[in-house]
Amino acid sequence: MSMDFMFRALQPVEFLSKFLAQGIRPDGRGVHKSRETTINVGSISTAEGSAIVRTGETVAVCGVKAELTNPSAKHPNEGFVLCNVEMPPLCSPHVQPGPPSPSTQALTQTLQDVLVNSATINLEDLCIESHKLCWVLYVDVVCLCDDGGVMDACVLAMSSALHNTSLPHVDVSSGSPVVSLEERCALCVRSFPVSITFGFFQNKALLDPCGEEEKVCRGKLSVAMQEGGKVLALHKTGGSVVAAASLMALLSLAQERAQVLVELVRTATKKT
Amino acid sequence: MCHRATLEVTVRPEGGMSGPKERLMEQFISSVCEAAIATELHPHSAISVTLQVENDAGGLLSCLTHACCLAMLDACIPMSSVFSALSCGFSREGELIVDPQLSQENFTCKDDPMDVVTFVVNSGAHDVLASYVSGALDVKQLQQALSATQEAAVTMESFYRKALQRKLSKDPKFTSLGKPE
Repeated sequence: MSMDFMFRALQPVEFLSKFLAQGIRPDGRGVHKSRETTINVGSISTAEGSAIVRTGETVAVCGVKAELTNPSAKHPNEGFVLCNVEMPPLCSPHVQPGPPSPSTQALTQTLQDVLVNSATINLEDLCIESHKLCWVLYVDVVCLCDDGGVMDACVLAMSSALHNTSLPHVDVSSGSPVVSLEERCALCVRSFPVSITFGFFQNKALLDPCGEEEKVCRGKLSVAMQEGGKVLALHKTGGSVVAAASLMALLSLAQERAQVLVELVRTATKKT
Repeated sequence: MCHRATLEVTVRPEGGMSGPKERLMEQFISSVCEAAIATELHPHSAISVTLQVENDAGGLLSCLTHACCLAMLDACIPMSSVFSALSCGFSREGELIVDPQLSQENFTCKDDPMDVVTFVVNSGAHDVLASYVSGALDVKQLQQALSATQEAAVTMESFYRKALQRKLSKDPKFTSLGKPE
């Protein structure tokens, strides 16, 4: 075992500090440089829409499935969209098999919030026949590998999968609904929500921390934004404290990164 | 991991089973407490905070935060600072409305929904400990809301001081909990 491998494993805080003192991180990135992100859409043929997002080693897959149901009595002209995030034990050695952990449940709620806050899908678009028939979209995100920035990958995957979603045409002119699976129309998606995470280590904010960096960071700030720079979610987790001026500086950095990510989703999901 | 106390936060909803929404609120309160409590003073220990929602008339996260802070002060848990929260709503015209009611908050009001942000700041430097956005807000609005939170923090801190003075005072009108038999 080499000396630096032992140092890295036994003293991770000092290991990262030594790199940051030179203004660089262990993987060679600058403090405000994120990892390379790739998006692949439409790879799951059995889903209405799908996307696989990879940021560094972190991988998230999102599949959108649609089912027919009756609208609720309270909102007879609206369909439903339900998000769910799953982090199976294969994604990280720290995940136990069993029901979702509190942080995974919080992430599920965050994704649901981002979807609702960004008004990405107008629920009335999902209604086929008022009071009688509507679509319910199940947006399932599975994290296949957790190497930091899971929220970012999940939001991006959800965003891309929705832009890739097409729903079968339903004909309600005769008494009972007739579904034609071949005739499909794209789901009307009105926004491109994306997410950016910062890790707070000592007095620095690291953009897009990898798994190793996240473990030693005292706290994280995740910002979900849509095109236009509006903030959809601002989650500061962990025991760190952020000064107001730093928060504003991080938000402007996040806006720059958001523009890049929105372009990426746009390009990946462009319908030829 | 064992060189500081573990913090467990549970939020129980008014009615029904707790779900992902409560987990998110717990994460919010945890991030506030972890920053404010001096956890290094109690290694190998757990600090368990349970919050029961009695009624939600808007500004629930702010209310939970204040309840948590007062409970910590009552329990004499060592803290590096007290903390206070404020919910700010923005109407469609962009007007800042402090502490909106539930009927005004986003997604409960279809006609004129407000985008609401809740910030938690500590005492002293008034740095951000946690935040939660409901709706879509631009950075300028967040800045306005944060300034409003920092101003309101001063008022909350004097309230905490008054509450503690009442608890620790020897004045009979504050100390008696019931008439003796």
